[in-house]
Amino acid sequence: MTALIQARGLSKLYGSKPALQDCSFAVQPGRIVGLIGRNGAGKTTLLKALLGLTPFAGELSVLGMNPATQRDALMRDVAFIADTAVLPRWLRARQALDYCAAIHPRFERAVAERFLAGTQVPLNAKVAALSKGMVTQLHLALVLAIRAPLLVLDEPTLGLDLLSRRAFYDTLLNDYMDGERTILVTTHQVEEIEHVLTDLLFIEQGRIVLDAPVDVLGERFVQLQVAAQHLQAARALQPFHERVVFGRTVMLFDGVPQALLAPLGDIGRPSVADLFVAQIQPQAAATASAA
Amino acid sequence: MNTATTTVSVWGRLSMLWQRELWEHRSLWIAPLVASGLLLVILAAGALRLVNVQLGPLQLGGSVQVTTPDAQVRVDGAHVQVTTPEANVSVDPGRIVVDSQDDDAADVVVNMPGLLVSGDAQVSGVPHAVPQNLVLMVVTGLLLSVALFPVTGFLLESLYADRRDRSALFWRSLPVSDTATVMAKFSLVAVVLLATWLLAVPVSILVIGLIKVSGVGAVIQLNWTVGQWLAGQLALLGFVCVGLLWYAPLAAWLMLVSAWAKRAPFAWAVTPPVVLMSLESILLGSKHVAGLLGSRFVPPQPLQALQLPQLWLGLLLTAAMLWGAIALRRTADAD
Repeated sequence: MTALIQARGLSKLYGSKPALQDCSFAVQPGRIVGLIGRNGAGKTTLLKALLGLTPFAGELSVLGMNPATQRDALMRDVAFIADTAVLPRWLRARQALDYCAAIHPRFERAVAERFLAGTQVPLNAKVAALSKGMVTQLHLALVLAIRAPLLVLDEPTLGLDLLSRRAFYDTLLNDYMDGERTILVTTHQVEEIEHVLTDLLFIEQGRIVLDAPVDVLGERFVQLQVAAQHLQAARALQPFHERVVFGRTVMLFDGVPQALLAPLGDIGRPSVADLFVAQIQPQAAATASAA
Repeated sequence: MNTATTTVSVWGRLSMLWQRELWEHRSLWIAPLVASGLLLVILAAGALRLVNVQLGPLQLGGSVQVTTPDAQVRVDGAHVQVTTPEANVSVDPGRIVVDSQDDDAADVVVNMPGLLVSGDAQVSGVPHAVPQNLVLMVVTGLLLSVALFPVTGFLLESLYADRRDRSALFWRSLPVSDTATVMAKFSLVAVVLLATWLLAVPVSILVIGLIKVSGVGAVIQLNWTVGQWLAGQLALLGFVCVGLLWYAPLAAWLMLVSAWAKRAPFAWAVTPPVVLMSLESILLGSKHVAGLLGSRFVPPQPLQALQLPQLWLGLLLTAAMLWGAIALRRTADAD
């Protein structure tokens, strides 16, 4: 199957500061990919490159198109939320629907109206009169109603309360995903979307530091709560991360068979958040725990 | 894959892009409507004698001579000469009244538009009627001048406002090319000004009607035919169209600045020409830049315009500046 997104050696400099360094990855159709990184790690730059909104070096293909030269055609097949807070203040909700309906060949007005009906957003209200959460909901309604093969969400639930975030992801899974659409999402709230994602892309300082499907994480990564007497033995198996929680040492292993680890303590599956922390600062953490 | 799409016609898309601008820049259509409304309300109030309306520019004289038993009145242009031993004569732009001292004799009133005479008088001459086409020109010119203010503001904001409020990324996330965005905004100016011309058609008819009803000092030619009226309107339309072509480089300049400026697009639009003019004046002592810019503000006669190389050079410059605006727009969010 051809990849929906294919990046090879993707790089981008802002002045002399590298924002992306030699990123290579592929996204297959029908996946929900979490692009996870700290602020300034390069997430938004990567998304902008994917959408043809910023120039880049390297090879990039999105839906078989080159974003740098075919942005106009690409935008017909991609729905995109950049940063939800920035709808223009003068725009009325109804006008936003009218506009998208007339402009976007894949926009289904009824879907947006149904989503908005479940919110407090009045159709006649201007964006300026809406709360931050309501602006986000309006933006989500617009984007969810675009039946595009690729949906790109950059911090989609920023500013929403817990209930609205839940509702959003439920809508996303129930209404949007049909097994063929693909979603690329960045968020700070990793814990909340962990169960939604099928793939993980960790990005740190412009580099892809982890690219793995979620369902192999359990086979590949093991979290071990080490029994005190086995510390040396466990360290000999080369954990890539080690920390102390409530007086117990917790180690993370990559590719070490569970059979080897089980005798040394309690094994479990690390959360995405744990993995993320471990992946982006293995050296720092290791040094800290060794000290 | 469910690839169901609704087809969107080019016309439907373009009219929505225009519509979007009119949502954001409401003064584009409100200003000419308000100006029309004010004009008509003032004239209607004049017609009802609620206010005293003087239409200075429309008080053209002509040459009329009135001879009554008591007096002789000669109106020549703005010059009024009364030869009378014992009569009170008042000359309004719309009428001449000779108030006889002899109480038995009736007053003489000469109404100017048709030289309608009541009383004993001999009237000769031709009153200089205001051609109704002049009214069309004044009304259309007034509404267009009013529209130019929001149009200028719109052009300066067109590619700047959504970068300032950071909504540019939202608009650019929808399938509208940067070229389509820029061209839709640019062409909207023509739509607004042509619509203003169209608005002036009924407004000027109402204005003529109200002036006639009120007789507020204007003499309006009565014998206007539909043909003359139509010719007048078409001449004005031609003037508007040539004006659009002539002013296109100025509009494109404003859009280029709007796409480029990080802040204060108005200052950036005005500063370079002023600096150029000053530098030339100081260093070379000449005024070529000022002359060039000045001539650009005076549109040519419609019939000669298309033969002027300046017009075509201006359009080339327009295309270049629009291309620049599109290129700048493309990298609007690159930071």
